Amino acid sequence: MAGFRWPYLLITPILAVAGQGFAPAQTSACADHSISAGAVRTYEDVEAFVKCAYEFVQEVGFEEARRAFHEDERWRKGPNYIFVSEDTPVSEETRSLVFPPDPSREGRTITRLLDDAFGNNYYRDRHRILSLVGEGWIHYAFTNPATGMEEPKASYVKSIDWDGTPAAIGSGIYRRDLPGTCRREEVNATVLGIDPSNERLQEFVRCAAMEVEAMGYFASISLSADPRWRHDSIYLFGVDGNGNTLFSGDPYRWGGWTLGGPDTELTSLADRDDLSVAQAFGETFLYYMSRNPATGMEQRKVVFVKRVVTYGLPILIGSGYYLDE
Amino acid sequence: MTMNRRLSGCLFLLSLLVAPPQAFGSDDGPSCAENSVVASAVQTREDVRAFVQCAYEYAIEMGPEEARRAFNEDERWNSGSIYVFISESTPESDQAHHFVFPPEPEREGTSRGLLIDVFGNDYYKEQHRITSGFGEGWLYYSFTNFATGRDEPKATYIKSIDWNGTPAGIGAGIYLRDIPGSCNREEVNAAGLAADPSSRKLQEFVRCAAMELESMGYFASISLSLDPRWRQDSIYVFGVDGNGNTLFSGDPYRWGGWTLGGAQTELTSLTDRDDLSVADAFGETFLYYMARNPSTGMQQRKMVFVKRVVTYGLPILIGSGYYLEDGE
Repeated sequence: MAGFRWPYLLITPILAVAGQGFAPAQTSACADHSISAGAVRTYEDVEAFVKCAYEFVQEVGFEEARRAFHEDERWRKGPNYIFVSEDTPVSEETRSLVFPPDPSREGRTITRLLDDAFGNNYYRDRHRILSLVGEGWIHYAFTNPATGMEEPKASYVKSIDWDGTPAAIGSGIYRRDLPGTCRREEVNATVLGIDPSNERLQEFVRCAAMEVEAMGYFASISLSADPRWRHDSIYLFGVDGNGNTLFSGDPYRWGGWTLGGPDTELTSLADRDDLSVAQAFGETFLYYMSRNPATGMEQRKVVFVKRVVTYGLPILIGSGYYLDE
Repeated sequence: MTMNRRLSGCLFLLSLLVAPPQAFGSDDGPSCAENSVVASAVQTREDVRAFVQCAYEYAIEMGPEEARRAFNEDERWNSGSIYVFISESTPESDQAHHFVFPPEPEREGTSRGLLIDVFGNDYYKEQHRITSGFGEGWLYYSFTNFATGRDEPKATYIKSIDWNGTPAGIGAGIYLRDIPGSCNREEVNAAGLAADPSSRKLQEFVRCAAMELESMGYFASISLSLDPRWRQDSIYVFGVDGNGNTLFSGDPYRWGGWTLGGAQTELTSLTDRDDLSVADAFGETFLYYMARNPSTGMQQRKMVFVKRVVTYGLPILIGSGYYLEDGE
């Protein structure tokens, strides 16, 4: 699995001296992990997606690859797409080669990324990273075509020879559950309630966990009562290491009376130690029957629980959505 | 209240006997055509889910006999600690049969009796509860890692399947080395990272160090700087605050406040780039730069992973990295 193939050697003599990149022991070729644009969820998915795109270019050539990157759903769906742009030390002269969200930019130099919202020069940094290691991650701010907003974007980029031009091929992911995102308008109980999914549930709980990390127990007020965190049947709860409810958006569970009782979240399954499991794994999905505060009925519930250490103490924070029978 | 809960639970289970359960609708993940992972490429929990989806589709398409052969023999399905298993889903948890179990094929067709893990959980009872009530989902337990021979926390994705007319669960699981319940000193340490550096090992190393910081706060800086677990040859851990001041470092060269904003501070060595804000915004970032290797004294390319930790209300960036040999 030695890192680099022939195009890399063509790039510049400097790169050839700088080395052939680090040996990516965890690298899997597209045959090992073949993923299409619509299935990309994690950073590892992005890396696999870019490696597939790189191999696709080698297989079918630039013209067909360019067409496919624009037109085929396998390469382009929602906010996920493949881009190719020139890799040059003169960052202000970098040309866009493939850019599906706005094909009119292709063949032209791009000036708008010279300084992103972090004050970083994207093309210079990217050239530096590719010169050092041949492929890797770059973190910057860029317009999310799905929302039209400037958002933190993590892209995996890889050196490629594009029809004789040293270039970078890459793709990126916009995550809604980062310290720099977790926006109230995007991650909230209403959005989760309308279209519940495990992905949204994870984002919801991870963002709430960051509030606990930063504010400690003081966060429990907004996490219990703020409509961002509580809407219809969606609410948050926090329990300590013994299963005592520290806070909950379900008033039915307020007060210490639930201590160890059968109605405490996470201790409702008396024959199972979900607390220890959630503590050991850090992030867990749980599935149980629970009273839906919006209907008063016992319903199946899909729950995601995250362990947070706040001011030295581990807490479990969780939320879930109910399944209709 | 308890009685009502039990009663409704029973009614619910009864209803399941009449109507077969369906997977929870709105979260149908990608199909195998959209996300296909082979056993050796499984790295994350999301990969496990995709892997199980592929195995499920393969079993449906090829039938039990060929699927059983392939799951046992083919590297696509069985590599290292990653394999596909199929076992009976029955309320009689002490009688659940193994149908496919590649680590010990001799168990196939037999029941191992009650499987109670170190958490005190009844594995087959849980498998049955999730496959019958929810169709598919995650199970967390402790099980033998056949790659290490030890009992370790395992996160398994399980999916309900009809196996030759018997209700069963098809699943696969991953042993994670960087969760609060693992992060074993013997597995995640500087010597292990130095001996065989990879971005995956580097992530595990930094994530486990971050947990020390989360639970111990600034007191963790002593062991993170000095303990051989965290410091060996060219591998060391560093922590910086939001302004880029070095809070601690395993590289004595960087001790003391003199590096404040100076060219030798980790993360501020690239004076034209704001890596601090980026690392703070993204939570976990890979960075690549030239740095002085403390074991050689030379400037070398360095691959760094930085994680944001909030300890006692304050965000800290903790990181480590490995050096690349020239020509590597």
